[in-house]
Amino acid sequence: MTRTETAPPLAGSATHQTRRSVRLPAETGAAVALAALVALLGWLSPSFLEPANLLSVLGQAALPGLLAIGMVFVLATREIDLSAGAVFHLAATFTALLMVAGVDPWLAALAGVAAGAGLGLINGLLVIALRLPALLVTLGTWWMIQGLSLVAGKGQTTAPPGADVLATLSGKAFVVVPAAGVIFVVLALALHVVLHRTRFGYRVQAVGSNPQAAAHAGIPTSKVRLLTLVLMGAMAGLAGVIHIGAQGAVAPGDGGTFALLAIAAAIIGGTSLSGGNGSVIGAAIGMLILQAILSAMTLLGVDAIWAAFATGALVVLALAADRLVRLWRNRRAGHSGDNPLG
Amino acid sequence: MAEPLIRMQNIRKSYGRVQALEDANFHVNEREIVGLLGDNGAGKSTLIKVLSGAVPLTSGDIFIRGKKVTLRSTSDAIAQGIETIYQDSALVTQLSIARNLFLGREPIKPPRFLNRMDQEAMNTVARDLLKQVGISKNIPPTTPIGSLSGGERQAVAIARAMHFDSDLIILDEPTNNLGVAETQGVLSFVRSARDSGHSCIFIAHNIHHVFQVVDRIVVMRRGKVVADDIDPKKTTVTEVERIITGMSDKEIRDAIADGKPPH
Repeated sequence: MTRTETAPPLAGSATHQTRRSVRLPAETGAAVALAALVALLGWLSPSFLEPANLLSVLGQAALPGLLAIGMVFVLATREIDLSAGAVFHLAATFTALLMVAGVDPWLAALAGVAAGAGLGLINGLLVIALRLPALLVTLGTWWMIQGLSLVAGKGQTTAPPGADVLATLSGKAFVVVPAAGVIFVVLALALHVVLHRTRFGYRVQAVGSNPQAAAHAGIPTSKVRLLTLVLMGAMAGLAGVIHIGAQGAVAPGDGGTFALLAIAAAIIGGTSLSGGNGSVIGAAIGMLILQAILSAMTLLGVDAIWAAFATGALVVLALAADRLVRLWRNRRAGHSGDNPLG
Repeated sequence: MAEPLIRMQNIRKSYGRVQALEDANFHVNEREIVGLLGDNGAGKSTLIKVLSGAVPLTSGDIFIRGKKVTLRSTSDAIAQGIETIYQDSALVTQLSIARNLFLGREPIKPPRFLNRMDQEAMNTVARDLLKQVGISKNIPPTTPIGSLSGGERQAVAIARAMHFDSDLIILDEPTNNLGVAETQGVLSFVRSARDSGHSCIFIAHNIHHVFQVVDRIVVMRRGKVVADDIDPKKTTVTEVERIITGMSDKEIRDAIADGKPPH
């Protein structure tokens, strides 16, 4: 296959330092933070450690967590999807309306996921056609999709009949574990493998890391970006469908914080905003951290109106921690850390 | 005369009203290193971009071994055996050496529908290639490209083109920002690519580097090929500089004295 012959040693190649022998997984930081947090919260309020409470944290993390999983892929291509929360809401509304119209609940659920993927496809096509960053495109489509949701739901809560069929999705598998939580964990593991072991995941990282090099190597970069946005939409759609099953209804404002929570969870989990790498499991852990803190605030009697502030503060904290670790590593490796996004 | 590996005939490329290439004619023979020279804006990079499928040509024909081809995209060019190594964007620094070697051509493990990459195969081939290019010293193929030196990166990029049996390897400023020893390493690597049957187009601002490695020099000026058969063994750097600027020695000296850049 190769016609290569042995070339003379390349000058300068002997100057390498020995590389770090132990490389901890990228998720280590987030996992340690979660463990420490759970221990701290359990010490402050022992009822936090009750299985029922821990499982409810998992249940609350599941829906925004599904969005966070999709968001990791989008962020890894150096893009961002602000419209994910609105897609979640429109998919939920769409599913509910189909059920109201008498469509079989499972068929309606499938249509809801497809609607999410379709909205992601529209986002992706706009990004490609207008050659704009997804940040700008989804800033616009976010409001459009949110508006459509309100129009479709007539600004009211839509409660479909037969949501109890879909309630299987929200029911308790193995008696205690919330089914939404099971779906969340299984998809997190599966998509982690997709990001790190498949050609698609590898190309996602290549496009985010150096789009020009990826394009020169013949990787269809537009298609890769498009697919990540479709995946993001499908995950948001699935979350919307599960929401209908779990809550039996969708109200205006549901999922309003999901997109930012998903981005925050991804960042806490070690996904870089400058693209190129990401961790799906890290994002899942990040979402658990966020929900543990939000749930603990209730347990500890902190006024719920502090929730938004606390979420934002966590994002800033995660960014700062990530930045400090990178600067420290760069200094140790002898590179100058002059790239503010690096 | 034998049909050259690549023949570009009457290539025109305009960006709006700007004519970047005006009836440029260019060819590369089998097993030949061609040095492509020209001042900034002479049309070198446009010509290369046309040949690598990155930009469509306005008019003209491209032949590979006498067969007319249409290069609509980078992947078209790669499929035709034309590999371009851009100075800053050849490799993805965050990914490993092995992954970079297979960038865009990742091997898949059966069953294919699962789309899983065959990382073992990638690492094995990468280890072999690293040995061939002379940077095997304790560097595992899982090392990120970011921790390699500039010369090693060029070597990895060239090794990739050679491994996939590209007929033509286009090197865009491969010796920029490299130290003296590293430059020599890259130049010898380009020679060994030629000796094992590949043709190369070598673009560099440093004419001395070009003189050390190429078989033939082609000079472009204002979108045209103004000289395409300069033998580096039978000419001098000054002579080639004169052709690049289109000025005589005296004109160059006068222009410098006037404070105007020679053009």
